[in-house]
Amino acid sequence: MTQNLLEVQGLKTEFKRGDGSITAVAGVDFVIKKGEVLGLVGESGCGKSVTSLSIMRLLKDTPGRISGGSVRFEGTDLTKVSDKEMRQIRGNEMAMIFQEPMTSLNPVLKIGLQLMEPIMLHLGYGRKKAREHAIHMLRLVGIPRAEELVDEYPHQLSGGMRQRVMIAMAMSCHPKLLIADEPTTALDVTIQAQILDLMKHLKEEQDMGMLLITHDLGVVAELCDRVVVMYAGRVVEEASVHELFARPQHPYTKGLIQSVPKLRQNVRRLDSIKGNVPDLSQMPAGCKFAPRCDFVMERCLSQEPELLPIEGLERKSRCWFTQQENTEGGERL
Amino acid sequence: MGRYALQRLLGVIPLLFIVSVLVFLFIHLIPGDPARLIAGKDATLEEIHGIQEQLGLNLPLWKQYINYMGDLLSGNLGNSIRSGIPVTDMLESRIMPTLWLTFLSMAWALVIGLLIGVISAVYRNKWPDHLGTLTAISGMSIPGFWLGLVLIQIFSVELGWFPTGGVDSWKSYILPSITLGMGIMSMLARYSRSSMLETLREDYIRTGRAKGLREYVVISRHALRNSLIQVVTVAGLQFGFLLGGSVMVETVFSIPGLGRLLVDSILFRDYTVIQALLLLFSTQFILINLIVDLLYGVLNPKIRFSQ
Repeated sequence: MTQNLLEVQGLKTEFKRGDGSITAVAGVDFVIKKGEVLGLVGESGCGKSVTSLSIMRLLKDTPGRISGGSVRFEGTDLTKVSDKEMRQIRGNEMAMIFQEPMTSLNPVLKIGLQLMEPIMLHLGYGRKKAREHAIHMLRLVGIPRAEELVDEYPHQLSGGMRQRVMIAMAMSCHPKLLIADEPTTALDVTIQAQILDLMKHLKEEQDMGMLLITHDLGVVAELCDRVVVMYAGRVVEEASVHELFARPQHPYTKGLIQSVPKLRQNVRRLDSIKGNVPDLSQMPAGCKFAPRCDFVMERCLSQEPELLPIEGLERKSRCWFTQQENTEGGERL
Repeated sequence: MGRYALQRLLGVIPLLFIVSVLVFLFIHLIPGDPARLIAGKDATLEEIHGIQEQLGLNLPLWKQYINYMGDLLSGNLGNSIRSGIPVTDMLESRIMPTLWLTFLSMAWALVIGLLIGVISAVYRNKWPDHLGTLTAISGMSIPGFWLGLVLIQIFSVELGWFPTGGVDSWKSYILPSITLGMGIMSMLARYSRSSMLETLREDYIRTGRAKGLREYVVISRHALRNSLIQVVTVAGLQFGFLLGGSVMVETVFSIPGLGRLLVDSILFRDYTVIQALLLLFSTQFILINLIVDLLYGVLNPKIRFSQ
């Protein structure tokens, strides 16, 4: 049995709001195996980013805190380690890239210095060696004239270039896990494809696990091995990429896949999921997706379904309807 | 950077010209005739005319301005109406105490103000922040003349640590500098707190933490320099206002500086001295703004390169 790289169990993150608190992540479970790319998919506000920040323990300066569950990274529970131990993992064995390449680099420091920081910190290199390594990393992410670029400032680069720099920075200490929070959302479509190719290439070369957070199913299909679909701070479906696109189980996943525009189909109107993500402070009692669901049953409104494995398949779904369908006529899949 | 600095420097020249014209016009707008003042109450009309002619006051305004600027550029600011002493000599003997006072005040206000601001921001809503806020609000609310008198009472009269006034040794500057710097220190503490809080919310701060950097490094290397960009503006403006404050502090601590000279000259309508002081103060203000602009360039590469 291969050891799991990351095991997230019952992760719960709450945010203080006024007197009370709201739960942004309500008991999330998933596993990333060594060298695997797991996609974390869902609409804005479903808790994807908060999940990733919780794993990295980067909730400082937000009113949020982890209130339950565990995050095991190679067996170590990250929710229990000291700040110092966490700092030794961050940027080293576990690195992160963010959605906004335009603002994720410090405008007043040279690119080279920002790249050298984690290298000197985690690999213990001296200035000269760290600089060489930084230039090497920039070349690796396909940046031309890397020697000059290390002495330039972030505002002299385009968004795509900055995201490459961010990737180079994250990869510089050969992390075992890379968390990418919407790495291509802020970029032009052509640049998106380049960055995805780069990430795919680097991932294969370095044999690292990846948690890819996105709302773009195209990105998922391109890069991921397995997918976790989140809705309202919960995992609603988990499946391999092929299974998910071929036979989505949860009505929410079906809705997501249907709302992707398709070429060569004469569509007048894009399909969309009616309604909005519920406000975190006013959650429906039963299934959180029930108010927007086309298959809603009476049971859905009062009782929340569990995330259960589907018999005979390596996948899970949190839905009364599919669970009922599968037990009554399992062959209908 | 060189080009940027040169541009800023050249930009100062027209400003200085405009300021000199305005100061000159203001002085001439003040009612009252210097010639009458010099001649005394019992002077005859002929005597007054004589003095006017001697001082060039009968010439058209633009000619007077050119004469004045010509003298100014050759280092002659005229003589004091009150004492007849050359104005340049008066300024020379008075400028050092004021320079010491303002620089010492600014120096401690900058260091302590920034320190309080940064600590307040980092420990937001915890006791160091509350203490910092209390200090800053008190510092802003206490009137300078009162603070000066209280300091004299405690540290000079009761404890005898520092002299009550004068400029005999470095010790004489301690209490006046505390008095003069207090308001600016408080202002800087508030500004650097809010600007630091804003900077700490930036994405690159999160990037710094995601690299595994220590919080101390994140703040000192990534946050401080970015928040300084805003603080420098306020510090520059405050520096200009220090001159106004020095008038009061020099009076309370009986320091023979430019501030006291200005008050005395205004009381006696010593036009030549007032005019020279106004020019000096406004030039100083412009130069400080120039320094602020240059500091922007040093702190922010975007400004440096976009020129």
